[in-house]
Amino acid sequence: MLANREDEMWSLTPHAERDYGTEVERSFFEAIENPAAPSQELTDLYNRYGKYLKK
Amino acid sequence: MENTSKNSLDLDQVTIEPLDPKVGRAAFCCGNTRIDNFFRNNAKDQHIKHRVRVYTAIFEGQPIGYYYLVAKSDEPKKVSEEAIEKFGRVNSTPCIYLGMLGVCLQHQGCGLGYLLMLHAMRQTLAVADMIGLYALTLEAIDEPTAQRYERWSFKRFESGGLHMYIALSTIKSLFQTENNA
Repeated sequence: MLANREDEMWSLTPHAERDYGTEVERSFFEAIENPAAPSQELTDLYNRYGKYLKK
Repeated sequence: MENTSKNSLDLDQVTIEPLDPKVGRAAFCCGNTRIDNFFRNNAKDQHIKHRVRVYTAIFEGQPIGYYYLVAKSDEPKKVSEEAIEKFGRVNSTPCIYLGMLGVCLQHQGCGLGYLLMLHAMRQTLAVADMIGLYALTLEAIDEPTAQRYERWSFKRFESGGLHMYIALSTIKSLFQTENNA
């Protein structure tokens, strides 16, 4: 569920049941609510360089 | 990810930290005038006033790379002209915007840019622990860069556009591998 100050009912409507106005809007929230796993390339990047992130 | 650098840089000796206003910035040169000018002329003032947070990669006391983060609510008109009417219901999509990532010429190709990107993602996660947000967003500098970011799980707001985002949950999944290891 999304927090939405302007339209609480819309926020509480499950993603699949919302009336999205545009493809941009639909695809953005679809990606937010059904996020893809990190790509293999990003995972490789992390595995190679993440160790250099200092705590 | 290949390191095709002709230069060498021990990333273990690099620290990424908030901008120290006292650190010299005049000599920084990444080859992109806009990115260089921001760091030389604006970064200090903007950082001190907390309008952005600048993070610098420091090596041997000198800044060799940087990026900045800023909280940003993407307005519909900036996402898509067509989206104004409907996106108005969601007047704000709270995100973190990654701006101006640059690495000085001498150290390009050493993996520092990748490290800065991962650092930005980690900082975004830290912010998300305190304040709700949707995604990390950025504006790719050109199409080849956008395609690279797509391979790193970024998505375009609009087909063919350079305005991109990566869902917070995707970043979270990436870093969970560290926590679960």
